[in-house]
Amino acid sequence: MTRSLFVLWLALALPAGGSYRVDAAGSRVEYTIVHKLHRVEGKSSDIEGRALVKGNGTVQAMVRVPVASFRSGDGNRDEHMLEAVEAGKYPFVVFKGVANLGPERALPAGPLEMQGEVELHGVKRPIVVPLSLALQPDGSIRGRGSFEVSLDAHGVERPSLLFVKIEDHCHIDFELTLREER
Amino acid sequence: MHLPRRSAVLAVLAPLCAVAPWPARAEPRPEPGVSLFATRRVHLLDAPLASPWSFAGAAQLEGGSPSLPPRVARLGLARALDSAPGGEAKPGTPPSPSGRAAPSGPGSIDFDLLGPAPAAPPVDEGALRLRRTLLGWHQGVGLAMFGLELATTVVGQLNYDDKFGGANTNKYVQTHELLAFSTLAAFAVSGTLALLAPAPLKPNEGFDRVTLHKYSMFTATALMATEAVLGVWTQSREGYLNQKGIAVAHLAIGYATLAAVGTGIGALVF
Repeated sequence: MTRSLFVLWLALALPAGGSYRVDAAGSRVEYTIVHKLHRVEGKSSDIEGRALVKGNGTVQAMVRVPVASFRSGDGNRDEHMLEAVEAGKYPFVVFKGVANLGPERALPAGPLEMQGEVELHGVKRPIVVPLSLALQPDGSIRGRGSFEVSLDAHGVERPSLLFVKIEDHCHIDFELTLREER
Repeated sequence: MHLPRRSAVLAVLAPLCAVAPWPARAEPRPEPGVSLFATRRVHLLDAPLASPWSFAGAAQLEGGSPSLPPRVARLGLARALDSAPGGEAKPGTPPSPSGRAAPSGPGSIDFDLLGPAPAAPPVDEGALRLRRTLLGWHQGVGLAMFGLELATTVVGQLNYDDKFGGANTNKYVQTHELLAFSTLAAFAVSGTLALLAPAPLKPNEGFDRVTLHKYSMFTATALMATEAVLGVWTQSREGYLNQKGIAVAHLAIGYATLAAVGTGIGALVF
């Protein structure tokens, strides 16, 4: 029994100095914005991301998504969003964060709190993201989480429909597949 | 060691000060009715936690006193505020709803794991801005046109009832004509604004709401042109036996045009 648990622990522990890349094909980032008449979801799988696991259990992560890659199912609305976030000047939304897995570097059973910042529209804001991590049968790691950003806090002029602006909060959901770099 | 009374009080108060909310700068009193979030505040808990005694130690190195005089407490506050997050936010913006302290030191986020960003597809900002301006006007004129069209249809129905089922007083003819020409003009202006709007980005593949809007409006354009011809023709057949038949067609196409425009607007609004 003890031996089985030890083997399981070994399987769940991440190697020190391990480097993981986001597999864009199995990953998505989705935003949800709310208007009085609509609830809009935009998705992107054009994701670049990397995570490093240090010897002391610290995890550094960075994810970058081009804002022009989000699709909401309405080309006109997508163009409107690009104008709102000034995609020409600020083409990427970037998240950087750190978390600590502890000296054992074991994947936690519950959410892992990742502290960092999100950069949108050229404005960086601190943020805490609860992250759920799960080891997949193929050895990859599935990371899921969500957080909210304030469009006003990022200096985004909120788009409007029928002269009514969308709500300030933008909900971000993400699901990332991380594969170890060899 | 016996501390003077004033220093003892300050020693007690300093830790309390170090966890109290403190404005980042001279804080204007908010206007009545203005949200408190409109005024940016920084809370010391947002900064990496450090004991006020460490500030006292730092002050001591700089020649200060360990008994925490006000200057030391101020130094502690200033250090905490210097490391508070949000320094890169645009002024006047409220803090992020879920925003908390960015870590520093060993857990600093001052790293770049991805290297330089790849060249993003170029976005013509000027064209996007022009598009938004023209489509904003298109939306306004289009909604006004829909109101005019609705009124034209109602008055047209009243005119038909008056002419073919009532006293034939012709009291609605002028109003209907005025509304009909206004609708046509607004439709032409709204359509032109939409056609002039540049499309700097690759359009979406597949059938989306805008595609439905466009199809509906192309249908409405054809119907409205037919409607105008039938309206003029109906009037020119005054006294002829086929006038009623043409008027019925004009009426029916009027409702179809209204439905097409309604579908086009509804595709974007709902």
